[in-house]
Amino acid sequence: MKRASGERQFVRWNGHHRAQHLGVVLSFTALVFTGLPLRYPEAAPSRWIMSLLGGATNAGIIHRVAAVGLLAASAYHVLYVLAMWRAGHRQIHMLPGLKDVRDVFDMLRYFAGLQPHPPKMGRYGFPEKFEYWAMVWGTAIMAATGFMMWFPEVFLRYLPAWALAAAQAIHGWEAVLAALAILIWHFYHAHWSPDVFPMSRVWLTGRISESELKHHHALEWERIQAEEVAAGPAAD
Amino acid sequence: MALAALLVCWGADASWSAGDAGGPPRPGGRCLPCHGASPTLEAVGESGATASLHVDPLAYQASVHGALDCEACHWRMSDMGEPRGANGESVDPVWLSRLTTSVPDRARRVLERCAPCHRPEADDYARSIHFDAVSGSGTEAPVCSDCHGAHAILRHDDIESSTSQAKVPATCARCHANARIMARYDVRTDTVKTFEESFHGKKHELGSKRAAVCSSCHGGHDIRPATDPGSRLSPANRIATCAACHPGCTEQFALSFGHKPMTAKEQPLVYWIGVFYRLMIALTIGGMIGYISLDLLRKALSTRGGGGSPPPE
Repeated sequence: MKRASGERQFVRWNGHHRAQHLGVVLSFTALVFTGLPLRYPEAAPSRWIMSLLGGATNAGIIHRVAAVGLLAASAYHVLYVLAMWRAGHRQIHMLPGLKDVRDVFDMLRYFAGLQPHPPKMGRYGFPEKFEYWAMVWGTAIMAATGFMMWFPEVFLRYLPAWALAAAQAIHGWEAVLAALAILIWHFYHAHWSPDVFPMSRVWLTGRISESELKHHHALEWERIQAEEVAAGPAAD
Repeated sequence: MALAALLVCWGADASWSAGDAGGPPRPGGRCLPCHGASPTLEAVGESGATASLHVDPLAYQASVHGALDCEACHWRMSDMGEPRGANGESVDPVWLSRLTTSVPDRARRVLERCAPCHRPEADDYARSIHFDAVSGSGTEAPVCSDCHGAHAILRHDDIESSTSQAKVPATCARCHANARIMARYDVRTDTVKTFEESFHGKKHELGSKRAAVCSSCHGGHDIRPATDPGSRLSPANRIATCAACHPGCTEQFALSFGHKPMTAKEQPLVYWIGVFYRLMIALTIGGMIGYISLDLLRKALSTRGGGGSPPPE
């Protein structure tokens, strides 16, 4: 959906949202490009990346810096959510509910031609909630196993030997799962879907057009309309 | 026949010997005019087996021994009649006496050339599992030249050396990945593969100059099986071995690294983690691809119907 000129724009992501997303983009990308070559060292792209970065030792340093960066972005996000909660924003849009399960089935019914319209979704629909919680869970797993591999001498003072082998296996597999999920699920919804191709600009401008908002987040649009009616005439 | 060849060598073209500018004699002056000339020069044994007699003069001169005359090692060819140290000094003949007892010919010929100058390494080697195997039966068990080479030996800190950190895994693999040789000594052949699958092996494969290789843990000349109390990997010594790179490590740390393959039998936890994740990835990514395909299909059908994808209702 192209933005029609003069169409009303809504702020979907403020500066905090965009900063958190950018922090994840940069750190996640660096982690993937410095981590996966260690899992597949015999692959040709792994060698290109290593020669580009000046060797495996440099890649290891970048990987650790990026890991700290991802955790910093995560901490920023958690603190932001807590601050918003204290400021009175009690509606957590990312919380999954029964409606999301119904939406999945309604979407599949829509795909199958059994119902004429896709389900109406709120600020975040089930595709976004699924990805968000996969990211939360994945980051926790990667951080836990990653720190074990970063400081094995320390952790193995308290843990048995098999814990490190398990951590390595989990870290490597989870990395493949996370990279594929982002490449396929996130990139489809944010880049390759005909609805947003070549790219949704929310992560850059923070803005979304009224037609896009109505199309993808109908309940959010309705909520904003209701708020505006309650607050009096809109400024523009 | 041998005598005739010898005479030819002694009278060989003096140009190599003296250098083109008539400078001091070059090492190998008596031998390289023939042995350095033709790459196809070879000896044919009584059994019909052949052995190359060629020595690459440039590779020899670039090697650690490039300043020595051939006779320094091939001292039986000289009029010394006994081995000499690098500076021509006489050498304690203990080594030669122990070699004459139980060591096969091939091993003896190599050891009697190297040991006189390289006594500390030779003494370490004499305690190694490799020397045990040589002394036992092993015509294929390694002596100096099997790992180091002969005429083109480089220092281990030269990346081209067969004993450099970069090349050690490949050098060891020549025998340790060879099922026929390993079967003779009842040694498993998957140790090379399990190294390649390990954190050390993957980092090494990526070109890391710090990644541990075979000799970092197992030792070089003094290599002993882990069951031997004197081994670097024995229960008494393994923490210190790991601590060379991992200061402050513990017993559990030392036990966390090894050559167990990632099979259900030998590493069940790692194996089942792999099974679990393969399943997870197949279901998750398969589900995503299925969802996206349906979405695209629905969009295509709706567009053909003339309306674009309809808004939700």
